[in-house]
Amino acid sequence: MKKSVFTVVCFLIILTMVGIYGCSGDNQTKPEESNGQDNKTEEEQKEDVSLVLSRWAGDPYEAATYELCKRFTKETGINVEIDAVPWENLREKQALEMASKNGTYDILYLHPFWFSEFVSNGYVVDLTDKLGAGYIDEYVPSLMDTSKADGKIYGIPEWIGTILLAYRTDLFKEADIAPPSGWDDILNAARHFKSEDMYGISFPAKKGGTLGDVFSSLLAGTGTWYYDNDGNIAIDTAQAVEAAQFVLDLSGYAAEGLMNFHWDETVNIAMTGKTPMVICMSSNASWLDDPEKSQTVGLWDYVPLSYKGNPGGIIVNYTWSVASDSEYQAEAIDLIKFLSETPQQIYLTKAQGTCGATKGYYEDSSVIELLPSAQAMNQAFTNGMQAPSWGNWPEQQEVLETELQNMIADRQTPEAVIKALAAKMSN
Amino acid sequence: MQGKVRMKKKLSSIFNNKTGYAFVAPSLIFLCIFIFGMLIYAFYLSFYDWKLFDLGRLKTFVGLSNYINMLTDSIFKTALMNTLKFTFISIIIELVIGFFIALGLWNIKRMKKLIQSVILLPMITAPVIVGLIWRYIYDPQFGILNYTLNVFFNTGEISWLGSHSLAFVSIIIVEVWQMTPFVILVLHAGMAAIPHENLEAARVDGANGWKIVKSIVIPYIFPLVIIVLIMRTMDLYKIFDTVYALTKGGPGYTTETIALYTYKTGFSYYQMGYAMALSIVTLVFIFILSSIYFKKVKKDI
Repeated sequence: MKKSVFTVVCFLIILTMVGIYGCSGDNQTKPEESNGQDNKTEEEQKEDVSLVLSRWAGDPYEAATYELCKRFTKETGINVEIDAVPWENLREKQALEMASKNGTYDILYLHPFWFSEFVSNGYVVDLTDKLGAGYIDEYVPSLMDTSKADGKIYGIPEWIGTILLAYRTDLFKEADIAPPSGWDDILNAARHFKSEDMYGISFPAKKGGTLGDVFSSLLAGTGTWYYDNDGNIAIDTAQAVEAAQFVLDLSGYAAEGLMNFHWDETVNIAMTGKTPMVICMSSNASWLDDPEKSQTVGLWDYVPLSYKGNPGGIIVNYTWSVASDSEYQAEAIDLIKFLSETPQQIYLTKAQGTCGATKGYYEDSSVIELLPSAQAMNQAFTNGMQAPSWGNWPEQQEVLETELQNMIADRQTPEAVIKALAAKMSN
Repeated sequence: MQGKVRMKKKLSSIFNNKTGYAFVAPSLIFLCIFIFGMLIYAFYLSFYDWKLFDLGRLKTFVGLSNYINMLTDSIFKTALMNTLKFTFISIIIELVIGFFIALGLWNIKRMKKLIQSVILLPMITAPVIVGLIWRYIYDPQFGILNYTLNVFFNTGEISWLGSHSLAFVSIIIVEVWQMTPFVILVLHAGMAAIPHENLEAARVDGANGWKIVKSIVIPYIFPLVIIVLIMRTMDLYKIFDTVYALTKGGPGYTTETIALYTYKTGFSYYQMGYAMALSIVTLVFIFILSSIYFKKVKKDI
């Protein structure tokens, strides 16, 4: 009796092991293994193709991608599955899947933080000769550059955005103040409007990227950057200290609790009419004129964060790339081209307030109507620097943001902030 | 000789209980692979300098460097101190509040079930959801907490999560709100198990109120208090979700905890070797704390 129970249990263990092995195996059917493919029409074969696209989760962005993929399926018959994961886990998920070479993904939505790393690891396809003759001429060159490495094209840029200053035209007109064209103007206006019922300005100062982005935008406006053209650390400058000092000065007129504000909290304050100015991402700026969300629709205008009259800012973008281990690279290229074309980008502007990278997009009259901040964005791109994206930026950003927060809480000086960042960068 | 006999007996008992061991075997195998195997691998990785994405590349052996670096890592020290303070303060508050609510519940006769169910609600909510709920409660401009305080005390806009002085306290409040029900549940179960005769006898002897609590209730539930302490210490030492959802460790490093710092090191900075060393140190800390508690339980029971 005991022997038979023992045998049954052993059998169950073996069965479990086999089950696990079976489930973990590569279940995708390889083209050469599928019988009868040759007898199918081209359309039927396309219906058999299923592309898996990896992107970050969260609406309205995720829902908009779903909608565009549905349109693509309708046009081509190619199915698209979206694997959306929280932004915080995206890099890790994509990298692990690519490193394990399972062919899980066909299309990758890459942030500049990990774009170059994916290129150097060979995770994405070199598209230089695969996009078709003259295709890249349709794109704004400076924006296309964000998807290049060593002169080769590894993707198509999308989700273009920058950081802008939105100001209330009605209040500025009433107070007879000209639109801010420099840091001093912003400070003076914030001082003027600050009262019991209204903050002078709203801007985000939470750790996790927002405060770092605001500082980087200010720094780019001064014409200096973290590194010089030769790759040497160039942060310890008077301009960088001035940018930190500006953040400190502004915080005196900012909304209570700014050190826990992300972009959404910052813009929420502006939408309820509690501030005449807000520093925000261009994608969030569209919320200000959304009748379903905002109580201040039609009252905003936008300017870049200018330093002594020179507009500047950071270019924030994502890149659609094709996974190097994708079985369906040609179809994947078709999809990323489709997603980046002007009509689809105009749809995304409506749905999520982001911009495209094609020349046609910026020449389209409906874009100006849809996106009141388009002109300010174009100005910001003039001296725009791509948002910091080197490998150890997250660590440096943590130091920068922590020190800036300490400075806002009067525990640190602007000079010390820059010194701490320079020390971290040279470490 | 005696040792040999004992060993023989042990071996024969193993063979005689083959069926029992066979039933335990599947769980043991999984436990070995997924817990001990992973722990050993984490320990192994903690001696290497390795980035998460360098899967195909050789890892660089750095010996004890990752552990030595911790000694000079000021963020680690701050995170460790925050975690210890956080654990200690939260446990005391949870125990005190939990004990008195459990006592109250034990004494009431009507609507006991309903009250119990309501009290348990925070505990069964996912920590991230709790974090998001409290993010809105704490909102300086639109949050219900500031609104209520303003109505009664005209306090103005208090920045609960964005202030160096209040962020830490605010997180403790959330944790206490969420996990005190667990303490109530366990202690109330302990109180409910006190034999009725003991209480009757105490009453006949003239004891009432606080004397019964001091002489009968507290000694009876003491082993359960230790169990609560063990479980809550382990939980609080690993606190991550609430802090991540509410402050991401800020402002500055005021709410940075060991678990959050380990996560950032591993999954934001991708220094897996150092992250593994941090995890091992966390494990050792929890092991030491739990051992102290277990020793106390053994002594008292």
